[in-house]
Formats: sequence, structure tokens, C-alpha cells
Amino acid sequence: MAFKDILGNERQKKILRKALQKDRIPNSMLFCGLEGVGKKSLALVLAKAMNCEKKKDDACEVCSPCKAISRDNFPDVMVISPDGNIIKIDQIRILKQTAYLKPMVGQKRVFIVAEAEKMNEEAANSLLKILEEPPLFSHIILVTHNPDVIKPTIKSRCQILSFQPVSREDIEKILLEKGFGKERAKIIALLVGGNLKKALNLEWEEIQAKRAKAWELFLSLLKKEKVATFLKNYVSSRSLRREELEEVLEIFSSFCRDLILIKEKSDIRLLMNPDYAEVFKKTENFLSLSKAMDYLEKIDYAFYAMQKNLNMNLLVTSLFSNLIS
Amino acid sequence: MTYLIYARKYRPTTFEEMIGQKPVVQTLQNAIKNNRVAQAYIFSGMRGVGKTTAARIFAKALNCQHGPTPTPCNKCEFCKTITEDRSIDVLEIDGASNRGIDEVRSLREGVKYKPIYSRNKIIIIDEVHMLTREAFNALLKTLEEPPPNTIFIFATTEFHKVPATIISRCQHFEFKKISQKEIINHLLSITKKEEITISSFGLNIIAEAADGSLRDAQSLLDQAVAFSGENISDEDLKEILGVMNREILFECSTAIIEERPDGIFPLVEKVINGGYDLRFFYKELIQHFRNLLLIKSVKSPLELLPLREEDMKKYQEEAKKASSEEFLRYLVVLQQGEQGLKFSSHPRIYLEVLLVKLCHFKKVTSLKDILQELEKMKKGIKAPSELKENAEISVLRPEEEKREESVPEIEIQGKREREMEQALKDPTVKYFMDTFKAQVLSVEPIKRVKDKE
Repeated sequence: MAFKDILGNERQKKILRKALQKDRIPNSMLFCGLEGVGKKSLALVLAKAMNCEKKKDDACEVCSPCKAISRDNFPDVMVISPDGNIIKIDQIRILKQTAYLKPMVGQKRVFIVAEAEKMNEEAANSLLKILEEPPLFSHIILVTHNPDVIKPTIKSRCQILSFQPVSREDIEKILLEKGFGKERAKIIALLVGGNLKKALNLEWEEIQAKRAKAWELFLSLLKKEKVATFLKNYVSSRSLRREELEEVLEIFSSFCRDLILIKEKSDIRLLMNPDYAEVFKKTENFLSLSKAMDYLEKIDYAFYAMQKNLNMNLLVTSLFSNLIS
Repeated sequence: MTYLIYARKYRPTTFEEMIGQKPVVQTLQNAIKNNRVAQAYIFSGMRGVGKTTAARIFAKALNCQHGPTPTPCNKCEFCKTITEDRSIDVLEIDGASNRGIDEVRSLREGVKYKPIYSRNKIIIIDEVHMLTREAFNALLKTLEEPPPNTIFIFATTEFHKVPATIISRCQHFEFKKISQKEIINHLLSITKKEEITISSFGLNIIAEAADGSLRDAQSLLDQAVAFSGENISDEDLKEILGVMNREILFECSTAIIEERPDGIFPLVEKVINGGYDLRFFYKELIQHFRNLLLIKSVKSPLELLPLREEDMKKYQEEAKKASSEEFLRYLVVLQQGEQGLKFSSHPRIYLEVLLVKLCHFKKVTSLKDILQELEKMKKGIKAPSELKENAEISVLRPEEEKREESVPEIEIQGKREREMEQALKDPTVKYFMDTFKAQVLSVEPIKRVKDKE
């Protein structure tokens, strides 16, 4: 991957390339922006460009450092990702120890801390000193999609590069280039909300089927007919698949949001599920405005609870009874 | 030459170069002059105001070849080794990484020995708030009576996390936020040295965004240079700092005040397409409503709100559209929602729905109206239910309470109970009692205390 392979975010690329030309890449950086816009990939490209033997402001993809980095086989580039759900202090300690050693084969050491918002208090604090004064040959790049959670003491030590979501038109264009149908590209672009990675990885038939199924469930909850299906599907003695529930709830919340939009008679073009517009209009009356908002609140809470690792069976049951009551 | 960010390149090396922090610097200098250097110091204050810098300069001042001096020379071997962080007798420890009791134990072992090479042994522990409780306690004895010529300096951004037993053994210096003026002056001197052109408006918004932290200001300037080269235009700067377009904010507040929820969805779309972070937009929106409330409640708002005239006019017009009570209510709801937005898994939907809710807010009857309604009903029923009156209405009508005070306490008590019983028989009163139970209950204990007195 080189700079040209990263889609969107032209401005950010320009800044980095300019800095590369002038040898002015800051030693501590924070990349922030929505999920799936290419932050981590760009960080990797940057690491390549800094170590590339042929080109100054890009990765050549031919020289051995470039290749080795692509294969995750380069000793001077280290990617740190959460161990489980958090980045622990030990991981940062390793980072710190290696950061003070001169690069082994390349020109610069690059450390990429992915999902930096998952650093716990101790890890984040232990990073402070090295972020402030890293050795000149070490570069630390923190990557996060939630900069609000990053401590201000860290932010103040980093150069912040914020990424924009890939615009809907761009996603549509890219999808069209990849050979998607026009209608399909449009709907996907709406569904993913600027997350290009998700857009490219979506399985169209699968997502359609999922949405159809979710809609059926949603409708049954609204009409209070055959409500038990929801429970049957998601509460069982078998271990519950969390991702599955997350997906369904995500689709539910987009339905609720669209219903509110229709009820408020806002611009139909802004629907998240444009292909369901007609169906929404028919079902509009089943859900009052306050009820829809209430639904959303409950669903949001369910997401919150899932992050906190609550008992899934209980969670689903309580959500269910909240939704139908 | 290798590239250093401004914050590192322009880190002060003498007390005189330090920006702001006059009282701290002067005290430290005088302490050296009068030979009254304490054995332990703790520096606290927000990020980027000069705690670590001050600690380093102080170390140099104490160990400089030219005697303990308030003006270290930065030329002698001792000063140089400290600047390059290779002095054996000045230990700068990262408290966040070396936070356990074992590290502190080995530190205590080391402290026993005299300084090897310079006059004083100086131990700087940065981010000291991250030490564990055991580590702090292990330090206590050493800190109280350290060996001669040993000086501890602690630096922290979170002073409240440091145990009181440590604090009482140290001299505490609080580093203040650096004023905008000082930040601007400092940035000006950097731009001169680096040959950067930037407008005074640009410097102003950087200083504002830095919020009193010099390092933040320097980082922002660095980013601006990385973005647009040596000529920094105001437009670029606005983009980097993400200065919110006021039009959008006004559009949002108008939609809310005029109860047009359909306008919310295109608006949020616009915010997202504009590349703004939703949480940032939200913060700005709170600020926006705060400004409106301020204009409503202050006679000459220009003193408190440095706004351009045309903006001020717009604000004043907007403020006319609703009462200050309504603005207050919007603000309360917005503030309550902030936390939710921060952790919401779908910030966009959350924001949209919250704003739609706000659009419907005028339809919610205020508590005052309900109470008035209740008052009217009560007159209809004739039996005055004192209980409720005590709960809420007494706040609204203090003169009535005064009238009661002249009647002997016990009599009131008896009368109240009787009236309460009577009133409770009435179905309407009962209904309201049930609805307001929570509020009545919450006031109850206070009432009892009052009665006892």
C-alpha cells in the first residue's frame, strides 16, 4: 500500500507528504477520525515511507523495508493493539523500552498504537513522558476513533491529525468503480455512514437478508404480534452471539431513527434505509414519536450494557420487556 | 538538522525565559538566594504550563558550577549534563511507568549515597499522581527527613490524587493557566524566529483554543505550519482548529426554538459533511445556548462576550425568540445529554433524536404552570392542602410562610395534620399527591427538621 492506495482524505495525505519531504514528521502524533476511514493504514504507509530506501515521500513497495512492513515482518515498526479489551501498561512498557534503542535495520522506529482510546489509566499515563520527549529516531502514532476519551495531557503532547469521514458521494463513486449496481451503491453508501472499510466488506445479499429479518422482528414488536420470536431468537441456553444481537439492534435503531424522520416530515432523501421508505410510511402509525425515542434510548442502553459485559440473557429479556411494554 | 517540535525547541532553559508563573519563579529564586531551599517540592497545575521545565531549571540552578544561583549559566558541565538528561545526580523519573513499591524501594536505596559528582542530588518524579498507594507510603519517611543535599521535586497534573501525607511534607506550588496575552506574545516571538507569517486574528484563535496551556498553543502552531507552510492563512487555521461556522449553530437554535424538528435531519447531515466532529458540534451548541442565555440575562453582554457587532446583533435577535427560562431548560437538557453522546454507539442518531426532542420541548408544561393549576383547583376544593404547599409553593410565595410563623408551632402541627387528612380524602388531591409523590417526599425531611427547631 502506498499513499495513492488510501482512498479519500486527500488533505491529510498532502500534509504528511509535505512533512516527509521536509523531514518534519513529528515524533508523536494522534490520528483521529471515524472508524474505517483509513487511519491505521495511513499510519502504516507513513511508517513505510519513513523507512523506504528509494522514495522520500512515499512507499515504493519494492525495496525490502517496504515489503517487510507489508508483511508485518519489520523489526523497527511495531503495531500495538488492545490485549483483549484494553491496552495494558506492560504493552506500553515494551514500547518505551524499544523506543530508546536505535533502529535495527531501518531509519526510524515507528510505533503505531491502534485503538488508543482503549489504553487504561495506567498505560496512558506511562506514555506521557515518552510522548513529550521521544528520541529523535522514534515516532509514536496513536490512532483512535474517539478522541474525546483520550486524556488532555496526551493530546497536548501530540500533533493531532483529524480525518474526515469519506463522503457519501466518494463511497458511492468507489463502489461504482468496483462494479456495484447504481441503486445498490447508493444504499450501501447511506448505510455505512462514512465508513469506507465497512462499505467495501459488506456482503450485499447477506445484509439485505439481515435487514429484512430485522424488519420483520421490528414489525412484530411494534404490532405486538408473535412477539416471542425476538426472545426465541436471542435468548437461549446456547451461548448468545453478541455480534448478531449488536447487528440487529443497530438496524433497529436505524429504523427508529428513520421513522422519527418520517414522522417529522423531514427530507426523505436523508433516510438511512431509503429502500424501506414506502414500508415506513405504512407503519408510521404503529409507533408514536415518544415511543420511538424511548426505543432508541433502550437500545442505546443495551449497547452500553453489552460493553459492560452484563449477562446477555438477562439483558435481552429486559430489553424485550421494555420494548413491548 | 533534525526536526524538533516547537514545544521542545523552545523549552525555556532559564527562569527568566519562563512564561507566566511569576510567583512560583520568584519564590524559587529567592529560596536559592537566601539559602532556604526546602527538601521537597510539589508542582501542580494543568498540562503544558511549565512544571517539568521549572523542575529542570531549578535542578540546574542548584547544581550549576557558579554556586547555587538563581540564574544558572547553561554553559558549565553541570548545566549541560542536566539539559541533555545524562547527569548522574539529577534523576528524572517517570512516575507513571515506575509506579510500584519496588521502584520506590530501589530509589530509597540510591538516596542513601552522597551525590557523586555535583553539589546536590535531585530527584524529579514527573506524573507523580500515578504512584501506587504503597509506593507513596514507602516514600514518606525518606521525604520527611531526606539525607543532606537531597532534594525531591514532584510534578503532577492531578494534585488531588496525591495523598495528604505527602503534600504536608512538601512545599506546594500551583502553576496557573497562562493568560492569552502571554501566549500570544510567546507565539509572536516564535513566529519571528521561524519566519512564519500569521495574522493577529490567527494568533488569537490559537491562544483561545490552547485554553491556557502553552504547549497546546505551540502544538497548534506546529500543526498549522505543517498544514499550510510558512504562510498561515486564517481560513486554514479555522479548518485545523475546526472553528464552528456560526451559521450552522444559529440554524440549529432557530429550528429548536421555532419547533421545526424536520429541520434537524438536514442540519446534522450538514454538520457531518462539513467534517465536524459531532461531539465538538455539541459542545459548541451548548456554548451557543449559553451565549443566548447570557444575552438574555445581562444588560451589557458585550463586556462578557467578545463578539463582532453583526454577530452580536444576530444573537440578540435570536435571544428574543424565547424566554430565559426556556433557554435555561434547553441548556439543562443539553448538558445532561453530553455524557450520553460521548458514550453513545451511534452518536449521529443520538444527536438527531436529542435535538428533535428539544424541538418538542416547548410543549412540555413547566412545573410552575402545573403548580398554578393546582393552586386554582385547591381554591375550588376549598380545603387547603398544606402538605403540598410546604413542598413547592412555599418557595414561590414566601410571604405566606411568614404569616404562618406567627401562629404557635404546635397549633400549626395539629392543624396541618387535620387538613392533610381532609385533603387526602379528595380524589383530585389524591391524584396530584400520587403524581408529585417524589417531589413531596424529597422535601419531607427538611420540613421535619424545621418543625423540631
